[in-house]
Amino acid sequence: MQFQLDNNSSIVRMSGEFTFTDHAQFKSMVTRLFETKDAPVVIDISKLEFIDSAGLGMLLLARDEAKKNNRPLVLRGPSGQVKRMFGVTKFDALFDVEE
Amino acid sequence: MAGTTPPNATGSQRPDFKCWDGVSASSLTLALSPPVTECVEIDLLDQYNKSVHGQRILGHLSLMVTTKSAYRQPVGKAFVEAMAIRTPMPEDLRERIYTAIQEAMMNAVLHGNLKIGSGARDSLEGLMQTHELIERMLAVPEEARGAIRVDAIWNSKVLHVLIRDSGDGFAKAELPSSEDIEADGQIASGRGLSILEAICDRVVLLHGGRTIKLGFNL
Repeated sequence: MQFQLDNNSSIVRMSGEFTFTDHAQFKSMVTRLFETKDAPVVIDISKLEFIDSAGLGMLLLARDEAKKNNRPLVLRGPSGQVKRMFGVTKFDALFDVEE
Repeated sequence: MAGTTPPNATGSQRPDFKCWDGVSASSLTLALSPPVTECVEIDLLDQYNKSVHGQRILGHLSLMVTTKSAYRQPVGKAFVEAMAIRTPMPEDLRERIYTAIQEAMMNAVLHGNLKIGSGARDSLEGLMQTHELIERMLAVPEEARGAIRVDAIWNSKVLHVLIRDSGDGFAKAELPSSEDIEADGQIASGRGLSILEAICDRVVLLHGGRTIKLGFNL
């Protein structure tokens, strides 16, 4: 998995495949994302090609961080396999998902 | 029967057998290239030679890898690509098979061979501690060399993928149900089996949970 986070932006763009072994990248992404202040956090997943259950679990941990920081969290643009995994696991009901 | 004799250490006796060096995804893709039907990671060759080999069948691909490689390398992806070369499958089916193998492989690594529970990953700290634990375990040769075997068998109508680990197995009743997970909404792990049941046409646990058989209609 790769992510792109511009300076002081609270919008992160994920790409590639987000799986069990991406924990270190994920931790780095979440740490930097919540260093920003006073804005909804947006995780743009429109370029994410594949996710497994561990990746879904990590998105739930990002949601927990958002709650701790009193910040709204939006998942933007799931498509393909990622969208299908959201459907299978009813993730749409656990997150604010923007098409 | 050409396949009843185990190959020598280089695998040179049989064109349908290759050893994988365990180094990279590209070397695995090469090792799985046709006409290979059986591929074994080099560290498991002794174990493979001691096991019983059945009669070769049409529409079969088999891969045996270590826990370490299953954790570090994109083994599932390489295996699905190798299958897709041998039997045509629509993109949607290929995606479901890849998703299923990825889930089952990680279950085999974590819960099967390394015997690590899911609950520890329900926090960011727990997630990092779990991976630190995995790294410590994989530094022990006996743990790193645990075997995971993946077999695909197909005909014109169905494809089955069997994933076998070297663990103690489990009972399905020990796992949280998909209803439990949905009702909670907080559990960051433990969704693997319910995902498998949703995306495969059939899921069967065998050998006390040490083998999972995933069925797909072609």
